[in-house]
Amino acid sequence: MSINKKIYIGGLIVLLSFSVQAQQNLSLGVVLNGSGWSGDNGQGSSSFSSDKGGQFGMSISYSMNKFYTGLSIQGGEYQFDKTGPEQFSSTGNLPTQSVKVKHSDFDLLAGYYFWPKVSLFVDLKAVGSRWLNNDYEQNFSGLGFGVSGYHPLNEKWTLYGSWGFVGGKIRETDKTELGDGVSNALIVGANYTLSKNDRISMGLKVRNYTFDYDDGSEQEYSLNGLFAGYNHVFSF
Amino acid sequence: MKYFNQLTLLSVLILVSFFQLSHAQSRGIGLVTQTAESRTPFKGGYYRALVIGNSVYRDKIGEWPSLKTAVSDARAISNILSTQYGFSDVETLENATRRDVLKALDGLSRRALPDDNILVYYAGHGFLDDDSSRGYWVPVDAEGTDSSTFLRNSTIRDELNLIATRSKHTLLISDSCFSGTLLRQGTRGIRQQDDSEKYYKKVSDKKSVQIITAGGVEFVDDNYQSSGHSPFTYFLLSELKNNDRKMLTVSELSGNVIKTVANNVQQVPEAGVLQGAGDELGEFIFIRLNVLVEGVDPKKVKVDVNVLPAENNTVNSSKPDDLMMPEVLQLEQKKPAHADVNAVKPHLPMPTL
Repeated sequence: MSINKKIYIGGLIVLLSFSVQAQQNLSLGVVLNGSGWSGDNGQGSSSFSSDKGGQFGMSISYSMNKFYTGLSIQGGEYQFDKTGPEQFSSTGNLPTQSVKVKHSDFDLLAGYYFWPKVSLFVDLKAVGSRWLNNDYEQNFSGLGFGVSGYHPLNEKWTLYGSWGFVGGKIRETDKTELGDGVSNALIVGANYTLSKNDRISMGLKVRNYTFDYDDGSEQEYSLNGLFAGYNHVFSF
Repeated sequence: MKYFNQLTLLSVLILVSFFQLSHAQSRGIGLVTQTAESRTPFKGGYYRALVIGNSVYRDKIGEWPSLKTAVSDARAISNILSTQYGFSDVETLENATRRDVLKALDGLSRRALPDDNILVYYAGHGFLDDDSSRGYWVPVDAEGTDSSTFLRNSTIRDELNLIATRSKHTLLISDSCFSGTLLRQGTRGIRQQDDSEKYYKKVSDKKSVQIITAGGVEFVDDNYQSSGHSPFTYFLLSELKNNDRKMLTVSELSGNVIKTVANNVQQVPEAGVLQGAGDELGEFIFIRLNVLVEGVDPKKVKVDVNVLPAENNTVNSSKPDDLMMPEVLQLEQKKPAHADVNAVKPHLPMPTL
């Protein structure tokens, strides 16, 4: 499925919701993700790890009764002192050392609470990795599906979580396809109501990526870590 | 990063247009928490009310003494309907003559639209003719026990019937002695409560013509515990004030009012339907404005019950007097506005993969 088709599907889901009339909320959020990046370059190659990095993200989400949609952009840099993630490019593989890599996430998401506390969602996701030493960039994008839920503990605290997976293509910036990838993500967190319109959240986010390149190479890595966020909600 | 730029631009455009379009459409009701005006759930009709309070009787024979609370009852009902339940058309009659009442009922039936919700409230004297077992409302220009100067129940039912044929949901609340005679036919029990959206939609779609009365064929009290309200209206107001749900059916409301009144005074209100007026087992649904107080400590939530001081009750005017605003009595709310944490979907961070 091409990226354009995925965008159309995402847009269609949003457009289909226009007819619904219900209570509406708009939420603006920021998040700090103290994740470490570790993985394996596959085929007996080196493993790599960085705990010198993190991500900052912003999100805007809109909910209307049981329906919600939103956009999230997150990014940050990771410093690899020794072995880093290899560049499996269309011109060959390039091992890296002592490299700084920029990692970014883009999510366009729409979900619906089919059950009182459980929702299903689709996520048009794109992940970018950019090696700053030679300014090489590749992207992984695809359509993901997930489930989320929450459990209120009291009027202030709510536990929540989500899990989902994405299947997609790995491409260079000139759209040259390099292979296929899958990823999954697990979030477990707690949300605290500061006031009528303000929330803070904290928890653990685990993301796993597996990339199968067309030349037979394989790379796996994880971005795991704690996060803390703040959301301001406008109700109307 | 080229993908990111394209995707970001497209996403922002979709979100912005989505926000604008859906915001522009949000005039309907559905399950919306209202801020100004309510409409029939799932339909879009208006909420209208005729509220009558008769306190000062002109009877020279002395058969009908003044009532302490009827006018303040009517004012408090009008106030809560318009400010907390989104009634956009509320006509309040104070110390109304027979002609005033009939004229107002006629006007109300003429304003009624097919999807509308019509509420008629009456507080005042009632009369029961023991020989004929006929019940009456007693207007302020009634002359002794001359029933021809009263409003016969059958006349009230006829008027209500006409309103019911022109609207979706009709509710009569009568706070007077012997008002139960309005219900001698067609009384039904309270239905099992169900708070699912499906249930509300089902009963909202069906026509209803319901009645709640302060008592059966008995005298009812005036000025409950010097509150400025009759016990029936006091507990009716209390239920409406303390209601923490967006939608409240008449069956739910009447069930609670009957219990609380019966538990506190020697009086048992009744509830039922108006027979022959086309009731289809639907429900008149009250929609509470701004019911959710998320983020507010429930211990700090207070509920206002409007109480007019007894000395201000001898009002003889046909229009509400702005100078006689009800005092506010702070009462602890029975249940916090969001006591059930499971009932409100919290605002959570958007899940991402």
